[in-house]
Amino acid sequence: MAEPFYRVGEMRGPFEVVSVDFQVLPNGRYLEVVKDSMGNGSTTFGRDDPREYYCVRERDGNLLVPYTVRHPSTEAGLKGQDPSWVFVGDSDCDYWRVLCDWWKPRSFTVVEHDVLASPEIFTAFKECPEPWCYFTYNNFLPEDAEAWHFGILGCTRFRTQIIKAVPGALTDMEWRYRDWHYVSTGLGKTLREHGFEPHVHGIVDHHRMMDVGGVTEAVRLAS
Amino acid sequence: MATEDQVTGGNAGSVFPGALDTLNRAYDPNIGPAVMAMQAFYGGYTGPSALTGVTAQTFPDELATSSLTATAGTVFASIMTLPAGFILNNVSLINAVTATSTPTHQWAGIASVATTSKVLAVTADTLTAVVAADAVQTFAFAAPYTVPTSGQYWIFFCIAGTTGPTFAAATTLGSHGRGNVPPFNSGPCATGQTTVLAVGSTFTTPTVAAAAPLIYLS
Repeated sequence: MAEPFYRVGEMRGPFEVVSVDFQVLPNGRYLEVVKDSMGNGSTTFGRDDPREYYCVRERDGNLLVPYTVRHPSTEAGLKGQDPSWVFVGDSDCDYWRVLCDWWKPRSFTVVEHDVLASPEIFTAFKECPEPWCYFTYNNFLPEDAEAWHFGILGCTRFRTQIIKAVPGALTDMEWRYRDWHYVSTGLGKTLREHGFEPHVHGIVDHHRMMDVGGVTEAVRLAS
Repeated sequence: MATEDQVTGGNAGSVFPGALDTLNRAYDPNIGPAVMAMQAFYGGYTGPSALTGVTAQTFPDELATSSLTATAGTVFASIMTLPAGFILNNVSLINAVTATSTPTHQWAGIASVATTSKVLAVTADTLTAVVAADAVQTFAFAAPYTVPTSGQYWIFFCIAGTTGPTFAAATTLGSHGRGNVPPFNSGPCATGQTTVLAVGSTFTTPTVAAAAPLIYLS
């Protein structure tokens, strides 16, 4: 069931949300009007789309590569590994659904489709005992990296320990975060609320498929 | 004395200067009905109900039949003609089918149209703020900006992140004809941007045409 994305008192970027007006319209869409303390705002005419769990594909490994289009750079970065490429482009919530199946008490790594990993990264993940590790993006300024510290999934490893500690982190995720745009934010928020903080290792090449005009264009070209 | 086809409001025909106005035209009292007829013909200057106090927009709503893919980190600008004294509080756009992925910086502003254009005022950076698809997105200026002289201005915006959004827009002008003749009314400017452009800095203007985004000023 649709719910407002923002709540009064939450932060919307650097500004606090001061008002939220939310209503589900008779035609099944919803209207959310948000304003922040700076006067910025957004009015969303969203859809009360189904965001229930169902199995997209069973977990079949320890290295998840969710994708909408396969990019040569990403493939090159995974040479010598045993990646599970899982297509998540049929629904905005398929990434979340897949993560629900992967969030089982066994360590796993996520490398998203627009990230160029390297053997050193996998070695670092393997050797580090921290429960939650990631490499930040090379296109981030330091303040961007700080702002997204709890919300990066592009090159991230979760150990069994953190999955066991918060077993419902994905399956109990709020409706508003199940869209792929926000799933990393929702997961990071939950893990943070349970006392975890991610361990940053370094910087990974977040190529974003810019050689073909970005991910959106790459998907368009592939289709 | 006004005839039946002329403006008959309190300000009609009495306070307008005889000098040329911003459109390089002297006042003609018959323009009143003519403008009203145009409004009835186009009808599209309505704006979303979410916005109040809209005082200008790039083109009628009904012409926003396409979309602009706003490459992340690229500044997009559109020319708008604004009168002296025009007060600018907000710049609003309409997200189309695509929301921004991993937003890091988001801002808008106004720049002069000149041989060397300059940034005149900018909004606050909303950084990581989430804006969904099919949403009216409003950027607020920290202080209202008053247009100093009547004329043309660039209204610009930039969304940085992993993938930029799409915005409601008019169709792109053709690669030949008006779409290939400067000034380019709407188009991409500087690329690879993150932080807000500095007021007073040189503004890079479009060198190619792109779909013109539907922009509201209020």
